[in-house]
Amino acid sequence: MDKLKDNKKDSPTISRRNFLIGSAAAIGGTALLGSYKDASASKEFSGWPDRFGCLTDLTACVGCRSCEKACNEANNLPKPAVPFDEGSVFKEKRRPTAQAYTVVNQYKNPKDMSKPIYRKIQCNHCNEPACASACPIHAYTKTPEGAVLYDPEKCFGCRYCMIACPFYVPAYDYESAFEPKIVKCVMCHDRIKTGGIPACAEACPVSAVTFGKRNDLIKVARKKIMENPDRYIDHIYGEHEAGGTSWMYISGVPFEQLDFPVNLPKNPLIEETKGFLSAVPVVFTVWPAMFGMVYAALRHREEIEKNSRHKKEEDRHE
Amino acid sequence: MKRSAILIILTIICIFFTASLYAEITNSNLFFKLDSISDKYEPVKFNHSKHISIAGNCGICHHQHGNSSTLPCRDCHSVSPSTFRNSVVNGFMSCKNCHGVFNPNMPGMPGLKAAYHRTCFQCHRGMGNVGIDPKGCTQMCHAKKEQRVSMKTRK
Repeated sequence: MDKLKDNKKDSPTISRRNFLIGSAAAIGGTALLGSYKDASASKEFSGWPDRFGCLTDLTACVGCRSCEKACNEANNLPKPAVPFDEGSVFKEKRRPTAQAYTVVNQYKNPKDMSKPIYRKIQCNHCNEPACASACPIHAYTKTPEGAVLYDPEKCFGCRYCMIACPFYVPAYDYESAFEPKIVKCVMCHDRIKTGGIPACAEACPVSAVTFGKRNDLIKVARKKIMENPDRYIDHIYGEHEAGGTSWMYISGVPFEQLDFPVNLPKNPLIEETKGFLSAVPVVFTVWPAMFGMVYAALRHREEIEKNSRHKKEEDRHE
Repeated sequence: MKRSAILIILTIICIFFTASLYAEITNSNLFFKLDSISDKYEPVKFNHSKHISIAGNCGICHHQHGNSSTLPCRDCHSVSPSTFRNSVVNGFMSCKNCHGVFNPNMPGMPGLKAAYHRTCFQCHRGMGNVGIDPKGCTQMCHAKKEQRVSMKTRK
């Protein structure tokens, strides 16, 4: 009989604990499942169908820096200290800054030393941009035209996008003390929208930067590679890298020799973080409430026990 | 006697005509003036005859010629020099007929500027400082104008 009583005594406490643990697991599980569903839903979206892009033919570029100059003028950027027709800038490897949204770097050509290879760097306008996913306040947008835009009005300068970008593109405007902002190439979005083409592509004397619909550009690139197998390596950089980018490249030498990041996954980087990040709001809202309730319940029990102990002691004293 | 005199005269006329056609294409005042971006650069003086002698094959630059051998002009273009010239510059054989203003809907077709430059760079890249220093281009072909006009005012 006593045993039964003990069992009865124990059973409610255990079951309540089990219940709480079980419900916590259930809530956490559904939250995670939900996020997984979201992530898989984005997999089915293969990007805006008619989005534009650019194809940079690294074998055609002659390093005239016309693109840098055109970009500077189109975006009303300050005149650089070294003029655009100076080749001395090639001595060091540059990266895009707040004063230059695109830069051209020079590399040695292992095939022919008299013809250096030039690599133009700018935002690659990913199909699923990691910068946009890292931005806590949605200052970034991927437009249907293909460009990844940034809204300086929303930005509060956390610079997560700079860390998230696999191509090290977004630059920070350190110069302005009061309204610092992130800056990067916007693929001349205003020009594209009115039927124009990006300033750099327009200025390029050899059309090493070719503007067009991304799907068409992939076909053009494939055709070039097929017709000139000695000139190009069989790889369109940006077709699949980091889930695909709007800006793509074809080259005569392997891309790692030109400092392209080649260890990127084929899937968008967003998928690596999406499951975790979508669980964050759940953790911050549901978990405090849940554990708060558990804590309150336990406190309540302790108080009842305390009160009953007090009562017993008082009874004994009496 | 009369017959042979007429024959001789006809032959002379023929030789004269052929020579004039050849001369028209090779050397006489065929310094083309390419000046589409003359607001930025001095026009390029293009010496056609020099290029013919160096290239030795029209097809190297004029890709629609394929790889046919040297100077087959008369085989296809048996017209008067002025008509021939007119058809190249303005008519059905003009470069700009296909290579016009770049159209984003046809990214496989380079615009006129790109088509010209690509043709030049087939040989000129690595010549002097062309393709090594941005100044190489201005040293070899494009003398730079002192007064630079920005892109904005060009529009």
